[in-house]
Amino acid sequence: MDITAAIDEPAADDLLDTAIGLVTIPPATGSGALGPFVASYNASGALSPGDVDLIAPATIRIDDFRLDWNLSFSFGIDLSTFLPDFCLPRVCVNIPCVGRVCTPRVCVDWPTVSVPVSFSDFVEVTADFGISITESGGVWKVEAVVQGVPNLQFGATTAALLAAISLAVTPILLAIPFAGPFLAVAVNAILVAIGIAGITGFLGPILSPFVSGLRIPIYEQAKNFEAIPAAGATDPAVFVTIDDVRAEITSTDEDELVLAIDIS
Amino acid sequence: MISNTLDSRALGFGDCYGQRFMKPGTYRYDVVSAGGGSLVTEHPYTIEVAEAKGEATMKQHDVMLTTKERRFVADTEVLTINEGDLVLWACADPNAHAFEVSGDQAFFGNAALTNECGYSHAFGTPGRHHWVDALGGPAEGVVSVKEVRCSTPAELASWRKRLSRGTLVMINDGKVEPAEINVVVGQRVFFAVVSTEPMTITDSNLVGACRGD
Amino acid sequence: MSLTDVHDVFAAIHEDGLDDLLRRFFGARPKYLNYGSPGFVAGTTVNATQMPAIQFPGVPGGIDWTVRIERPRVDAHPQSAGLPPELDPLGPQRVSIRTVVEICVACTGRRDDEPDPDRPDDPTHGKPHQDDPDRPVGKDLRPVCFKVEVFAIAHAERTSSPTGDALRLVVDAIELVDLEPNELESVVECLLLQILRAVLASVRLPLTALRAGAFELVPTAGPLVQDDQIEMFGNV
Repeated sequence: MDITAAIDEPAADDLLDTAIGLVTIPPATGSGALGPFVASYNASGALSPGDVDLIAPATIRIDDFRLDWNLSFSFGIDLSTFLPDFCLPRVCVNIPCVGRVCTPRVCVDWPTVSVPVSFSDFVEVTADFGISITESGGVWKVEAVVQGVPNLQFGATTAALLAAISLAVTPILLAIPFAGPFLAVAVNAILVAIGIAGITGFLGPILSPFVSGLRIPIYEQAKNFEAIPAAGATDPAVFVTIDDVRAEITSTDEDELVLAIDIS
Repeated sequence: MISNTLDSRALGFGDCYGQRFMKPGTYRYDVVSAGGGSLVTEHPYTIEVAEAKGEATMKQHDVMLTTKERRFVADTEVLTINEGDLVLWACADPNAHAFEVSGDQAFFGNAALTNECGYSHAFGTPGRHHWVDALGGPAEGVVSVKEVRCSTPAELASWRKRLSRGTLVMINDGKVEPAEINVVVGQRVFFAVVSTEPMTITDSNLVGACRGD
Repeated sequence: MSLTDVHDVFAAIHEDGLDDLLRRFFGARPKYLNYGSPGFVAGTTVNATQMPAIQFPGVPGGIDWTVRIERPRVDAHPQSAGLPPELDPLGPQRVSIRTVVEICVACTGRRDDEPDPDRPDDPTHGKPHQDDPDRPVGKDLRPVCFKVEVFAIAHAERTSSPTGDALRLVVDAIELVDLEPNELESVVECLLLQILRAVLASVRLPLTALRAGAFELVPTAGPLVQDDQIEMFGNV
C-alpha cells in the first residue's frame, strides 16, 4: 500500500473522544408499552466519551461511554380502572293509566386522562466496535460500528422515573373529583402496574437503538482527494485517486490502529 | 315531570346533590325549601362518618327524600358511612317544590358547592344552556341539548340507551373540563366539584340581572 | 516494534506512492518541468514557465532557450533502482532521482526578415511551428537541442506550505551519463544541479497529502527515509 497511517491507543482515545462527541443521534418518536399503558414519546440523546481499548485484529472497545438521554412521553389513564363507579339514584313517578315510570339508571363513566412526563438521565455503556470500510458516493469512510445490541443497565433510573411519573400523575389526579384520599391508592396502583419491569421494558426499546445503531467516524475522504489545493491561476489543485483503504488493529509492543491507503 | 330549572341552589325532581365526607365525625343537616338554608336552626338528620380502615374504596349511599305535610323527609335519619364515602340526595316526589340540603358546616350543603361534591341535573328542554356561578366566580360552561325523535320503538330504545349514560363535567378551582358538552333531551349531567371557592351552577338567565349583565 | 514508536502518530508514503503523487503534481502543473525564454514560451501558463532570454551584446532580443525536464522517478532507501558508479550505493536516509533533461537554444544565424538562402521557399518561415504552436509566430528559432539522462541523490526535509507542514526533496549530488569532455560534463552537471535543486525546491508536498488526510499529525520527528518510504512521526 502506498500510504500508511497509524495511531497508538492514547491517540485513538483522543480521536474517538472527539468523534463520539460530534455524533448526532437523530431524535426518536413513537409509542411503546409502559406496563399496562401505552405511552407516546419523543426521545433524544447525546454521547460522551469513554475509554478506548484497541484489540487486534479489528475490535475497538469503548468502556463506560455515556448516553445522556431526554424523554418526553404521555400515557393515558382510564380512571375507571382506579376510581369506583358511581350511579345517580333512580327516581320514579306513577303515571295514571301508564303505571310506574322510573328514570333509567345513570352511571357516570370516569374519563381517560393523559399524563405528560418529562425525564432526563444517562446510562453508561461498554460496547465493542468493529471497523467498517465503505466507499459510496465517491467518499471513503472508515467507521467504528457497534457490534450487537449492548445491554443497557438502567439501575437507579427506573426508580427515579417511577418517582417522576408519580409526581406527574399526582396533580392530574388531584384535579379529578372524588379521587380524594384514594389519590395515593390510585397513584400507587399506577406505579405498581407499571413497575420496574415496565420502565425497563419501555426504556430499552427506545434507548437501545441510540447505541445499537452507533457509527463513529474514524476517517472520511473523497475518493478524488485534493492533495494540494490550488494556489493561483497557473497552480491548479492537485488531486490523487484513493483506490483502496484498509484498516486493522495491530498489537506489537503496543496496540495501534493502522490505515493503509492505496493511491494512483 | 323533570325540572327544567338549572340551578344547583334549588334542587328539583330528578336533580341530585352529592357530597363526600373526607374526615371522620358527626355531620347534621336538614332538607328545606330552596333558599331556606340560612334560616335553618335545627338539623334533624345525621351523617356519622367513621374512620376508614385500610385502603377502602369510595362507597356511595343514596338518601331518598319524600314530602310530608310540605316538609321534606329523608328515608334515613342517621346514616353511618366511612371516611371518603359519597352521599347522594334525590327527591322521589314529582310534586315536591325545589329543595335544599343544608348542613351544619360550611362545606355541607348545595346552596354553595365547595369541596368534593356534585350536582346532577336532567335537561328537559332542547337548546343552548349557558350556566354561570351565581356567586360571581369564574366558572361557566355551556350545555347544548339536542331534541330527539322517539316516534318509533327503535328511536325510543336508542334514546333510552343514551339516557343511561351520564355526562361528567369536572370543576376544579374555577376551571371547567369540558366547558362545552352536547347531550340529548332527558340526559343527565353530573357537575363534579373537586375544590373551589363556594360556587353554584346556575342558568345565566337567572343571574343576569344580579350580575348586571 | 510498533509503527508509532514513542510518538502518537505515524505516517509514511511508499516510494511508489511518492511516484504517484509526483506524477499527479507534474501532470497538473507541468510548468515546473518546462522553462523557456519568450521565443519558446509566450507567457507563463500552467504548462510552461517563461524565463528571460540570455542577454548578449549584439544579439537582439537575447538568446532564446528552453529546458524541459521529464517527470522525475524516485527510489527511497534501501536502493532498488540502478545508479551510476559515482552515486552508487544509495546511502541511508537518501532518495535517488532519475530524469531526462532536454536543453535547447535558438540558433538563429541571420536577421528575422532575411530568407534562408538554403531554403528560399521554406513554408514554415513566418508561420506557427507545427510541433510547438505555443512558440511565438514570426521568428524562426531553429532550436538546437540535446537530451541527457540525469541521476541525483536527495534527502527529505520538512518545510512549510500555504496549507501547513510540508515535505520537499533537496538534491545533494547529481551525475550525468556519457557526456564528454569531462569539463563539459562538469559544467552541465553544475547547471543541472542548480536547476534540479530549484525545481524540486518548489515542489512542496503537504503532510496531509502524505497521509491522505488520515488523522492529525503535529510533527515531532522526521522525515526519515527508510524501508522504501518516507516516514513522519508526531502527536495529535
